[in-house]
Amino acid sequence: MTDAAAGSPREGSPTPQAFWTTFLLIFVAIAILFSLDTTLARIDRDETQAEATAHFEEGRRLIAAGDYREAVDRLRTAAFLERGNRDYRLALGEALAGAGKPVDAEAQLDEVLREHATWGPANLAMARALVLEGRLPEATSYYHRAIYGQWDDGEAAERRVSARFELISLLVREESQQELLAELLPLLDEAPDSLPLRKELGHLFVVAGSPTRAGTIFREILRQDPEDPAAHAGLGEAEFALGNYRSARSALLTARRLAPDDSSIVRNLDRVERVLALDPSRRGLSREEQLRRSLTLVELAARALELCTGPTPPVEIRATLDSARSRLAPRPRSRAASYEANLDLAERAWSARQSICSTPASADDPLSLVLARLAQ
Amino acid sequence: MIRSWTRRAWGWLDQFRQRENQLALLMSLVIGALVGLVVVAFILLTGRLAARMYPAGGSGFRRLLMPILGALGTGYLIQRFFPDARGSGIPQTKAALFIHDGRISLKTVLGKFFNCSASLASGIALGREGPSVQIGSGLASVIGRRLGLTTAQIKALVPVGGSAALAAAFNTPIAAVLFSLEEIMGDLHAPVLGSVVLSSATSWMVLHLLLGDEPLFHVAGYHLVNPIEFGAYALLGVVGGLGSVAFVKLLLYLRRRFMAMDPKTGWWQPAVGGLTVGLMGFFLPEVLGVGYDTVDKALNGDLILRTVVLLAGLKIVASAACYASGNAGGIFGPSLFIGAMLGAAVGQLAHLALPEYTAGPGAYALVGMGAAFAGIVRTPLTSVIMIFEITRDYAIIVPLMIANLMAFFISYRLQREPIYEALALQDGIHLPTAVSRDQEGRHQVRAALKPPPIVLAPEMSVADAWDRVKDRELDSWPVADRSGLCGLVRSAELERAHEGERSADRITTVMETLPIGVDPEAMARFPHLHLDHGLSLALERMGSARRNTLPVVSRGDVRHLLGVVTLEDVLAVYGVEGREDPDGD
Repeated sequence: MTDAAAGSPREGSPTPQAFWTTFLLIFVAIAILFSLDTTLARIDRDETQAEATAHFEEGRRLIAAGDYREAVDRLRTAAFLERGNRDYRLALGEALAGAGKPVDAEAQLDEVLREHATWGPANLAMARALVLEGRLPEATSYYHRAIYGQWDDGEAAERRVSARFELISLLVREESQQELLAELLPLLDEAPDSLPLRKELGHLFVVAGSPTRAGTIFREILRQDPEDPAAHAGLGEAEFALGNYRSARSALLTARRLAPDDSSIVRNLDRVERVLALDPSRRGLSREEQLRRSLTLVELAARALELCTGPTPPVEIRATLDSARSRLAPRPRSRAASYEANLDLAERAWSARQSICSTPASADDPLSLVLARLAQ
Repeated sequence: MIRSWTRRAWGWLDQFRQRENQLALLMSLVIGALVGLVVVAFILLTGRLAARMYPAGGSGFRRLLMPILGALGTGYLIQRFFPDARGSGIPQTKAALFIHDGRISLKTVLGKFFNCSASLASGIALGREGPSVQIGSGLASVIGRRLGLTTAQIKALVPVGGSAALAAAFNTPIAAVLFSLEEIMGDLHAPVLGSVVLSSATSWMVLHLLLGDEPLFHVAGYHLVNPIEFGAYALLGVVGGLGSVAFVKLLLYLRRRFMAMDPKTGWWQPAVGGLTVGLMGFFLPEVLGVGYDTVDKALNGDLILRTVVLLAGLKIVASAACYASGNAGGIFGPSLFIGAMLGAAVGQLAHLALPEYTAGPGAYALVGMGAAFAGIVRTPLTSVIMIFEITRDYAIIVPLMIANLMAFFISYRLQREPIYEALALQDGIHLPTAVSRDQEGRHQVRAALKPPPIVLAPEMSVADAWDRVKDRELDSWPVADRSGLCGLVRSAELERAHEGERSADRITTVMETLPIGVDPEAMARFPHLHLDHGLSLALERMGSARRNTLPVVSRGDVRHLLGVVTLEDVLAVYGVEGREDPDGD
């Protein structure tokens, strides 16, 4: 090009009519292209959607088969092909979590939640990913968002309850009694009227330290079906937690009669029997028997303390152990006179054991239960 | 009444036509819309074609054969009917803008559209963005010519079409504007800024209207975990820079080899690229095509270290072979792919070494894309904005800037010539640099140009040549055959050879040969001038070549000798009569 050419009109410059006719033709071309593009875009969308759906279905199948790594690949392709589809991105997040990549899952789900903050399934998936990361307080928060979030299908109520039960399982695992009780209370109103669910709820109230509520639930069930062994067993459990061992025994005996093959009922009954056999305050016992049981408590508490201290206990512990040994020596007169003192000594020994022993006593330990009841 | 109204309407339209600014505004809108629609059609057509060529669950042999067949088919069409549809389209667009008065033919546009679509759909490992730019610029050029606009107006429309095309192809309206100004125009303050912005925005709106509002890649939100990471990102810049240089040098080397082959083989040369990528694709399908789905996986940290390293290496070879062998397709896409893989590799290593202080490999893949783009295309500003627009993630900007600058610096140190200039040089086209564009408006070589008094033929003997030039004052003489300029020969060399009893030798034995198509840097060293060079540059080159005469050649074909410029003529333009003695001695 030469400078002279720049800026000069081209040879054979068209007339205004020809100029605007050309412009008109360009607009016609734009209109035709727009129609063509719209058609092409529709074909593209349909085919891409079909391809994405195929990948998504395959991904879900792989998740069900436990092949999370391959599922991630498929779901990533599905999400790439159809970016706007939140179901694909949610499934991808779940697959990533399943494949042991909770951080990536969190990032993926975070993106989904940025657009759909109140979507229940995404919040639930995020909660699960955070549980895998060990970030429990944040996970609890996402569980709540899932519980109170939006669910698309007609089973929203069941999904919410299910999400809450998932959180409850987590809290049971973490032994967070107060938070557990806070989650259980709304379920009394929200949970659908399902017998298995109510039984589960009753059991959970026991775990959450509210056996009274558990007892109420089981009694209600038994009013409707007096022959329900699980309800009897649950009631036995609740009574046991309340310290009503005889009522617990009675309920568990009924449960065993109705379901003799249930090993958990047998186990619980055995536990109640052991507590009852040890309890010196049980009504109807002779003074001799009360004294004998009080000495048994001293003996068991002292033995438990010795197991913790070893052969050379500290001075203050040695005094307690010496008292126990002297109490257990065969001198019937003094023994007869010291029932209250025996209980006091057993409690002191047990308290010492609890404070110096590195491993806490089991919550089901009959000695622990009896002494706790006596302390009340 | 109607006639009167019609006359008034035509009068108003004619007035509108004369108002240059308003016409430019209208043209920007129309070109933006039209180019946007064409590029959307290009994207959709390529995508659907690819889906048919590679149905889900297709066998490995299909992956081997498709690229070969695609390359053979398009290779024949390109060789036979559309020679300008080869390669990326960016150098061709720049050549059209600066050398051919903004002229790109409709045939080239159509050839690029269909050949590139078929080529990319068949699995050729190149990108769609560079070709889109040529298509967009070509459409703008065709419309401008059809409307009878001036040459200057047509030239102004070329970047307008280019930015509209890139905005739609990459879904990056701001980066498209920057690229048009930074790379195509080579001037961020170009007066066409307003038109370029308008067409880019219009095209982008068309894209969104038809394909929805989705970024090219979906990236999880990344952030800088610890300031220590800046070191890792700087290292990524180094790796990205080295990878860029490897890609560019390999591409230029292979292209030189292909260009040295018999031109008759041109129609099947692309099949070599097809075979290369087909063989790789047989074992690793991710190498095929543009590969944005694989980039997406890398960005989300879904590829293991061994895979990303392998993919980076294979893609460098595959894309270089595909481009060098003459397939239609660009290098934007491969740049992003290579960068993402290199970034993911560095990211995984960094995360292995310092898991507490570094983000996941996805963040590095993202930065790697920008680094490789800055290293290969050499537009650091565009690359930062483009990555931001592609991903819409602002948090990664500072690491991206660090890595980009490192990559740009390393690439510049190890490969002086930017890739598009180097490719044009291989084709014998000298694109104007920023320096030479600065010369516009000053004294230019064209003012001192004169026809060469004597042009020597390469088959002449030293004796004949010396006989012809010995009484002349010029110190250098162009040597040309029927194809054009072959080289330069000095009078002093001819005299020395003549006196040294080499009179019978051909003058080619003492000639400085024009190194066309061999080495871009050697070509740059060959003493020559273009019409638009400033006279100050002419003086500089005469000084560095120690000659008082330089040939002036066309930018579009360096063998086309336009004339010569002598020191005396240059001085005369400045009003200095060099040979006159003021005292009359």
